[in-house]
Amino acid sequence: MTAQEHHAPQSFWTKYIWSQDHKVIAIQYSLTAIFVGLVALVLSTLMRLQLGFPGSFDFIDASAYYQYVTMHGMIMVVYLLTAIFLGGFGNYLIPLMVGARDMVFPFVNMLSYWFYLLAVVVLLASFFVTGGPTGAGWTLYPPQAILPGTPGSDWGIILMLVSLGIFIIAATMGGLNYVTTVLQARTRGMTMMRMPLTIWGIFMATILALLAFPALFVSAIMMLFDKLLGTSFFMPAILSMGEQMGHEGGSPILFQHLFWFFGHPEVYIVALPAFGIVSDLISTHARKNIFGYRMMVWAIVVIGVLSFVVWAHHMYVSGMNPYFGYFFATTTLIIAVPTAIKVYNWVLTLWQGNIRMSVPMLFALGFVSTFTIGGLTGLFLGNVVVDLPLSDTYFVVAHFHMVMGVSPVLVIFGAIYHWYPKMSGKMLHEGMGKFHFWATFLGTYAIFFPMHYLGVLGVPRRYYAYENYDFIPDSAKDLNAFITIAAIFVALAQLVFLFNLAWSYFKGKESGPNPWEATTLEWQTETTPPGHGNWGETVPVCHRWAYDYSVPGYEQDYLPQNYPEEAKV
Amino acid sequence: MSIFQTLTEKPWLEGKNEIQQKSPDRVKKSAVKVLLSVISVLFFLFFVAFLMRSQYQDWRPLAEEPGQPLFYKGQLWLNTLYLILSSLCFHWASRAVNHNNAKSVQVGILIGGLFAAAFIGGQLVFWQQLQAQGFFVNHSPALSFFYLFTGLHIAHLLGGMIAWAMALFSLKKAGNGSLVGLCATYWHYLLVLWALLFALLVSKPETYDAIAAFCGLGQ
Repeated sequence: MTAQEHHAPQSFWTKYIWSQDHKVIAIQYSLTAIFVGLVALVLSTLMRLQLGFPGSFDFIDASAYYQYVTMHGMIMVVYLLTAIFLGGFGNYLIPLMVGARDMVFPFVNMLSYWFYLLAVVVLLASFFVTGGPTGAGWTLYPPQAILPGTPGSDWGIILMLVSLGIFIIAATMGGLNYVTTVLQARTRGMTMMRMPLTIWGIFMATILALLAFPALFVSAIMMLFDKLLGTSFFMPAILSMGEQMGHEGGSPILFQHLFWFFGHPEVYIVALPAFGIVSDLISTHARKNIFGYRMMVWAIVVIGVLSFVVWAHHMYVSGMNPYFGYFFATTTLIIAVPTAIKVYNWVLTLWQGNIRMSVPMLFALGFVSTFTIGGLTGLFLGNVVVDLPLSDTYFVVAHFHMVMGVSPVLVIFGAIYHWYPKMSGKMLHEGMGKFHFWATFLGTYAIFFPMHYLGVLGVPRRYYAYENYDFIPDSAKDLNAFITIAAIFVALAQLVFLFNLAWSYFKGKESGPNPWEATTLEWQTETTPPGHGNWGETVPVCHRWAYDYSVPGYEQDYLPQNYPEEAKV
Repeated sequence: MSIFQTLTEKPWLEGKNEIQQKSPDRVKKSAVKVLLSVISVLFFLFFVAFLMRSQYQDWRPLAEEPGQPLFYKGQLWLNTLYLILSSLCFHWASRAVNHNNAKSVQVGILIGGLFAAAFIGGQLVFWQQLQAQGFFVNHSPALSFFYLFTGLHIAHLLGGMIAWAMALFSLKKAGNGSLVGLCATYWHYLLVLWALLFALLVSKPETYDAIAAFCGLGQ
């Protein structure tokens, strides 16, 4: 497609609202995801208020608490993390990094965002219906999710399931675009193995999303049938409130299998883009080529494939055949190998690098730390015999928050500090950024590290109140109060980040086209922020891989991907 | 280039720069392949759910005896015929595109679309017949699956009808037949999918018990 064919939209509506430009859609996706993420952050703070200071807040009753837990979990995992990595960064970076003018189907891309927004609106609407949002836990296990007694078992659960269905349609439309753009719209010279690892991570995560979300779609539809039409896919014969329900013979375990067939790849839908982005942040800010590029790509592919054969490690306590558990424990432990290779390679990239302690680099280093800690506790939980006593305790909460809560969020922040200059033409304020990093990094450790101890003590998760349990010592209650104070501190620290985003947009230092002296194509655009069609008259030609930092024989310490070979001095 | 060759390239060494921009047709073809993969996973998971659910005590097959909902399958066979004819028309139209025979293309996809509409109508008629006999969606787990499968299959065909309308429009307006081949691929796929769904739904319990046992899902 030539620049002439790519007419820039003129009116406000076509430029910023019904936009088909991947960069605008990316920002729409990101802002919506950040907004809904803030809602989930407030919900988690409310949960912590109850846990830290039980009974002090009248408006948090048991039902409200379960609703906060459910909505916090679902929003964070699906509507924030998935949406911002694929819809936000995927949209912004794929065409720019592979040297395309836009996604291959801009109209479908626009539809994808509007479906996503609709899914968010439907989800948030559940706060305002009779009975409120569902309180079934983010896993939405039947039969309790749709039976009276569970908060939001009427409209709340219906809106949740409908919202998920709409989200999956949105994710599929987006995913079709991302995969096809990577496969078919790369510029000349951009072979697959010259793509930055960010694109590899997003590409593989998109494939996982396309193949895993159908499982959630299947379970959502079947549960809606059970709820609305009285079928018995998942619902067994059951007495509820002293009354025999019309269902019989259904299998709740079938739902668990379907849910986790989606649920575990979902972890990697979030993690793989984070892996890719972190690789690029570390390489750029350490001025060194990434250590073991091919191994990094292989690891991404292997993790993607393996992520489909580990789902039942979420179900060890469901009463499965021991051989089944043995199989899933083995696959779970095997997936640690490629993951560990990635961690080694990040560390070896840093080794003897010319490290610049910029804010994105700090967040990348923070990620390596939290991800390693969270990953190690995964080895404990992956073993059936260790998992059984730790299951449903705060050890699990600590594990998954470290590994797929805090870690990817640190990457999102790092990535925003890294690419904000390209998106806006302004640098984010460094002082505020550093404060934001230390407050978030140390604060989240203060929140989640102590939870491991609570878990080992046997403190169960999902409980509204912990009074009158002899095995829980008073010290656990003190620890809970401490965690709550840390959580409030971390939540407030995010206001500094939001202020920084707004303040820097108007008052920030001009960034210039390539403030980090990075090699990848998005930094080589004609204008910053890039205009419609990205590249002016001609698209760039790719001459090299994305990691030519500190190459001997050159004056500058980086060679952009479109830097021609013959320019060697 | 095979995936293994790609993954063993050494990008830090000098390499070839020439990969050509792909044609719009290839982009669309690639997108259809990805879409069909997603739909395949979706229905594969439904198949697995069906097999797992069929292993529980309360399962009643649909087409074994006269009193069962799918024992009389005349309407379903007729609908299947509509879909086969629809698929054939699309095939004919896509061949006509290759031979630049504009008239045949138009006639082909027009009649193909009409047969597809007849299939959808026929499926809805069959639903009505079932409900007239008191076979509602919550009658039995197998019948719930029947409604679910046929409903989703219709939904996918309706999605195809949007592409069909676009193909017809671009043919009329610009004489562009690039969408016809893709419609044909999609129609053939939906025909095969329907054949599998139909076979699964009316097969004998021993058949899917055997498949379930083979997949390790037996009770």
